[in-house]
Amino acid sequence: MDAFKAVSVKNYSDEDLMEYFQNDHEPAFTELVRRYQDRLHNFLYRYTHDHQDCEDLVQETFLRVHKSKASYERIAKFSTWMYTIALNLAKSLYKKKQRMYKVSIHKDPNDSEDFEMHIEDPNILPDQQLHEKLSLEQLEKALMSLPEDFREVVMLRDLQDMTYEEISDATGIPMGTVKSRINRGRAQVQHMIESYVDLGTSF
Amino acid sequence: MKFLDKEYHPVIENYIVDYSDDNLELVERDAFEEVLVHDDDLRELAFSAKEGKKLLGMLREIKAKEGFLDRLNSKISGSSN
Repeated sequence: MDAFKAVSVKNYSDEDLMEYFQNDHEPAFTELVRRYQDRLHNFLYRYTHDHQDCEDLVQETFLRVHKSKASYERIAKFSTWMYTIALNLAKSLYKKKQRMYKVSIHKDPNDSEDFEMHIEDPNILPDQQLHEKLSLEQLEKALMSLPEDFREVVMLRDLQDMTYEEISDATGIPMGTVKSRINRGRAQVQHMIESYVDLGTSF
Repeated sequence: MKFLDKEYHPVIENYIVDYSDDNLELVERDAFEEVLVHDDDLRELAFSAKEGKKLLGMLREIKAKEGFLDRLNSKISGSSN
């Protein structure tokens, strides 16, 4: 394998990056995190419907990737390997939550992965925190309220920074339709949250 | 929001996208804004799309500011100690 070049990090395949990371090139791992952070979050949201849980699961997934790098073998696609880890973690969380709701909030002495719960009331927040949380929540809510066809392309463009060409290729939707959906998706997001945010835009 | 239901020629949709992404040359932008003056629905769509794009940019920034990578790195160092 060629020597790792930090300047070319964006051009490496996922599998190359993983191999470089196995050879202790930490920037290769950072690039994998950059590539998959949002995609994993979106993937996990379908299972959890909770952004905080998604955030925790994404962190845990990358942590496991980091700790288990030696166990990755190049015969498997990196994304498949990582999504499998993420899905298993999501399933464990789901089971854990089911147990919590049904049995107890106390530590289960028979389960080494269980732990004592510290319950905080998320509704009690200082004003600034509350405002930021509201803005973020409203933005996410507005995005999630978009029709699926619009949300998909808007997320790919505005959150994952894909080009219009890449979106058209990835989704199989003609470029003109991609643009038209993005225009309407963005416009709807603005209308849904205009009562929460003072934009102050100049044209 | 009847402006969302209107269909425009792909060239116009292209202009709206470029307008929202700030990809128009000055002359093109002026010409497009001149068109917007005469079409209420198109103006509403273009302005809203531009604002929506900004808001989604905010969302991306907020998510980035949450310091995902920093927290991940700190967990990684914590787990290896």
